[in-house]
Amino acid sequence: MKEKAVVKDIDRSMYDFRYSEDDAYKVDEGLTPDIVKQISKEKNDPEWMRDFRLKSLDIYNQIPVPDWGPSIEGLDMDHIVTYVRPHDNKMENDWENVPTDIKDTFEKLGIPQAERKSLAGVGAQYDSELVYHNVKDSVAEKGVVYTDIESALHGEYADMIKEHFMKLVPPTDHKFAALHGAVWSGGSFVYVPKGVHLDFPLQSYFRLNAKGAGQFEHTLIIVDDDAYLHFIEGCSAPKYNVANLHAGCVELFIGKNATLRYSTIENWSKNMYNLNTKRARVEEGGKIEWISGSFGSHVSYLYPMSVLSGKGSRSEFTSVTFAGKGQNLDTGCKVVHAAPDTSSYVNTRSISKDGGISTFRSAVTIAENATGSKSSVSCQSLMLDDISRSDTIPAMDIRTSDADVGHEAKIGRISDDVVFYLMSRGMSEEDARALIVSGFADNVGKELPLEYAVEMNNLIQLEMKGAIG
Amino acid sequence: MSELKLNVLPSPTWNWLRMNDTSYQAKNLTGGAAPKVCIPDKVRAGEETFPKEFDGGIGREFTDFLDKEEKARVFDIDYDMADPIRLRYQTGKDQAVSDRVMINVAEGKKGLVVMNFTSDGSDGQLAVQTAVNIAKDAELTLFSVMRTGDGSVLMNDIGTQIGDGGRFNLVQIVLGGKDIFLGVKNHLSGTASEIDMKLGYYMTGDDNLDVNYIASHTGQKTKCNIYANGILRDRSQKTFRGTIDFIKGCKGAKGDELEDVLLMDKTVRNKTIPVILCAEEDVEGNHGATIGKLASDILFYLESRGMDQSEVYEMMARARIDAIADQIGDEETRKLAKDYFQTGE
Repeated sequence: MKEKAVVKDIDRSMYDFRYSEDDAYKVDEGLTPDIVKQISKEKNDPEWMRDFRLKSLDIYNQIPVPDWGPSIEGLDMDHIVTYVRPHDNKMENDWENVPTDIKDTFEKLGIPQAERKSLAGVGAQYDSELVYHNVKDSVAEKGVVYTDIESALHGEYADMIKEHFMKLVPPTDHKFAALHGAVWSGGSFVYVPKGVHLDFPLQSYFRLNAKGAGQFEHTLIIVDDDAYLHFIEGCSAPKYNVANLHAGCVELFIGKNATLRYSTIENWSKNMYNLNTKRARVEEGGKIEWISGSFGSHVSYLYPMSVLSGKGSRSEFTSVTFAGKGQNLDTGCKVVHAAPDTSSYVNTRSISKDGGISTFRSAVTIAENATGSKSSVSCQSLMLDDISRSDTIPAMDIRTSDADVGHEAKIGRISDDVVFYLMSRGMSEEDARALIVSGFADNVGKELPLEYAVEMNNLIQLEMKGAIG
Repeated sequence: MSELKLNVLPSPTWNWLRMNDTSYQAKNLTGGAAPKVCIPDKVRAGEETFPKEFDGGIGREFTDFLDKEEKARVFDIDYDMADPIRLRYQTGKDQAVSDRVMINVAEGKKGLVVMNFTSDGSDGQLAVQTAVNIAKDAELTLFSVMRTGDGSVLMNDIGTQIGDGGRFNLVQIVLGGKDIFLGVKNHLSGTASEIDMKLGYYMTGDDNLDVNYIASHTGQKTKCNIYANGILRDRSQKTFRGTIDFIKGCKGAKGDELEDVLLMDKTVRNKTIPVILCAEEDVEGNHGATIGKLASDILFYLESRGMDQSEVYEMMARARIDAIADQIGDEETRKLAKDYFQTGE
């Protein structure tokens, strides 16, 4: 009897180490006005931010949970700790000064090594607070600002933060945007001045160590006219037997003729509810490039949104989602064409195995004034066994005749014809099938810097046992 | 008036898109419709109770709405038909009428049915529900042309049960209408059962077309092919929901879905949501959609042959409807669709 080709479960053991959190500062479990006020006090918020948090909490209490996606019944907000500050917390810009256990964590994850080799700057968040932030002198000299958002909130960029904070993703957007507005903590602020082109990426890494906690970091990036930035976001957590929650928020403002590439390798543990919101607004001639690999979490709702508000602005979205045992990953994207001659390109791959559920969900809206706009959406799904599930739910809303919209989707298993072709070229059947599966996710791999592409390929390990039956 | 959720998407998405279903204020029913019916002699016609387990494309609330009308006209087909059963519906002023139809095709036989819908141009409302039961190795072909004018409302719901080796062919052409709701849900439960559905539409003025096609694959080696091709003009709107649902166990199933939409005026609105739900490994599903204006190379070529842009668009619009109309094997019905572009009636 022939055996099936097997794609191994993602090996998360390298992320599963953990440290005691006994001496960390925590607020009580649950979500009340007093807890929100306590967080606001701990963070020394300006008054407008304190009011903003409380207003967001009101909105959170009014909005129902989504009735269209994966179940989040296992997430009990009454048992989530929304703020955990590591012991001896002080934001450092020298690794040597970071507390030993936290430093060990990031050493194991390879963050300092990556900084030395290939990054222009690094931010590292541990639970609810940034513990390290540094940017190379040569980058700072160009006027690039890369700092934690709390520092920016009190420094010379305070007005800029107030002008942009949760303006693109208002708390009214959905229930977990409102939650974020109430209890956000940590995250990064980046400003790239006009005409500055960063040759090396900036990276933020988010580590959630505490059991039963939530992480609510806020990332705000402003890329001014004619500038270029590649920003990389990584995240992980050790696995616990209780629910953890990630409800971050990313707001990206891209100026005229500027480009931002935003890459994410998401590898949360399988007890994580990942209810993240990401949105970019692109001005005339600007471009947003989303590169996204979703491998972790128990349940994900993740749909980066591009608002093409300037004439000729563009969006590219490239992603791969791998749903294994116990995972229900609902991912995709949204694009709003709100100006003439805008274009969007979506290219996604989903792999489901071992009972995993992956759903590709998208929305392309072309507004009345977005004449001459074009959009192309391509999504492919691969089913690796008959106990898994894969759905595609793409929506298109076109409100002008002067537009070209194309969509294609494909779902199925490994094609016997392709295997036959490769075998006719001299490959063994095992090698042919391994090549097909690894090539399937290559749309994302080839867009990442080499080190991250290698990490992604290591996550998707193939083990071919004989031929497929 | 009764508020109904019509054309419910099997797997909902973001509510803000307003594509999960359509809320509609339907007039309360005033009585049964009285179509002109033409039945070949060999067809056994009668009346029976409409099946309680009916599962159509428009949805449960619509079925409940019609449940006051328990009786259905029944057609049992037990021979290979050459001449079709014809049902001609016409809605009139202030009417809010309904009809229920059951079509049963016996094992190994081929049935042919034509259902045409017109109105007197007034504000009538017609709701029709058709339950189709196709036995082993049987085939039913259903042609339908809808020309209900810009004042009338039509709700046309079909549910099919298809046995081993059975086949359902459907061609629907919509030529305007104030509010047209089409729902078709196919239960491909028989091994190697197949469906082929083609929809052509030409919507103008303030017309609104709302479609929900569903192919539910439970049988092994089942196949579905869904194709929609249409034109939107003026301020018309259209929502097309097409779902291929591969249910666990439907090994060897295949589903294809394609929609082409030609948008002719800047004030039109098109919503499309082609869904594939998959709980089985050994299947193949594809869907595609192209929406927008005419390709510039086609436009350039035809303009270089001396046609102006408006002529090119008129010709291409007609060609799209003709391509679907040509699939209609009944000459009288085919002519109804094709003549629309010459007479507007």
